Amino acid sequence: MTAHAKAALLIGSPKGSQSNSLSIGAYLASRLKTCGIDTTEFFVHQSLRSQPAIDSLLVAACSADILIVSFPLYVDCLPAGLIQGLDIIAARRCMEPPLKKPLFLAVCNSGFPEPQHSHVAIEICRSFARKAAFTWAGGLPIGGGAAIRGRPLDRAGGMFSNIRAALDLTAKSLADGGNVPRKALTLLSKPPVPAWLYTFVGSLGWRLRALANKSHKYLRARPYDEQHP
Amino acid sequence: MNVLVLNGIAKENSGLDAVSCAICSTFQSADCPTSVFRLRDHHIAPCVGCYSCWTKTPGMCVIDDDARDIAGRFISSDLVVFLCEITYGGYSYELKKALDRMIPLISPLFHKVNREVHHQPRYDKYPSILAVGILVEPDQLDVEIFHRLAGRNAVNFDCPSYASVVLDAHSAATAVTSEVHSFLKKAGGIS
Repeated sequence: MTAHAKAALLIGSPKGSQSNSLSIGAYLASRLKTCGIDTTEFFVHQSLRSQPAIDSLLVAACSADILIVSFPLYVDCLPAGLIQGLDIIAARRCMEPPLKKPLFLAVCNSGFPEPQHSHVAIEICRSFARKAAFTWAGGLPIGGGAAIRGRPLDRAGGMFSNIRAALDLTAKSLADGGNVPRKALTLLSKPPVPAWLYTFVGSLGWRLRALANKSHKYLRARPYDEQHP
Repeated sequence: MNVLVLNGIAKENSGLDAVSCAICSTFQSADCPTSVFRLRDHHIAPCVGCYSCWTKTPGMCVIDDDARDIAGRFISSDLVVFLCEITYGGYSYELKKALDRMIPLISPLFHKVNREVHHQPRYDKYPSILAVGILVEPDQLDVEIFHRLAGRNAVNFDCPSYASVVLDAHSAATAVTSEVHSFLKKAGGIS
């Protein structure tokens, strides 16, 4: 990668600045910064609300040396807004034959402990990269993303050390013009905590959130049974 | 068998709506009451990821738009057809926007399926899924991704059965009829 290389980071979570996708993406951007690569962040869902914001996103995405998407797994693939954003980028790149093929990295975090839930979503990103003339740098499937709770990843605790190490390795490789290292995938293949503990704490967390909203008694409600008996 | 067709074809590919019509008429001719939502004509806001549908108003999205009605019809159907042009191997924006809003139909609590953690079902019975992807340009990798995605959805929506078919855009409207017949034959057990 040349000096003064640029990266664009697209946050694909509708939760924007409160999202785990930003926690992960911002950490990766900070690692790229130490390698001399500046990163510009975009919140895709917000960008889609106005034409000037779409134009800014397109300029950044199409002129970057590295394009990164960091997003949550929604119903086994990308959130709808990110699909729309990628559609717009692909249309632009097909309209104006690109002068270069920037690297494209996909980082998908899911609320399940096992990283393999994200594999299909990452394959979808790979297909996008192929069709929109990006160079596929690989994908990082991150299990247990919900446990980050929107905190900065470097202050989120020891259970995320594997995720940080994988991002460190990936940033260095991208800065050298390379792909996601195999070691990074190996690090991510182990859930941050055992599945039984994740599901126990996760289920407790949902119950506590419902309790705070005084809806814990109705956590298993079936409102559509009443409407469509 | 009650059938719900979620037509997620984009406006620019509206010529492919003929596939939706063919699906509808095939099911109706087999005495299956069928309703169709052409999603691009409906007001469906994107999911904002607030999870209020799990922890504030369990089972119901807090956004009051057409997705609420679709969720009700989804859970009361015996079969839901996902129809869209294949987009990078996955679903179109229009279809995905609606599917993202179906998470109130499942529970936030976890359980294990095939040694993987998934969300628990909220309801006793879920519909089967028939995912129909229309391939605008030949792409074998996209075909494989589409089949895998439909399979993952079937697990997460606790479907009793599922099938996925990929059709070439030029012949989809005619080919889909035999695919639906074939599905009906296999799914003979669905009441």
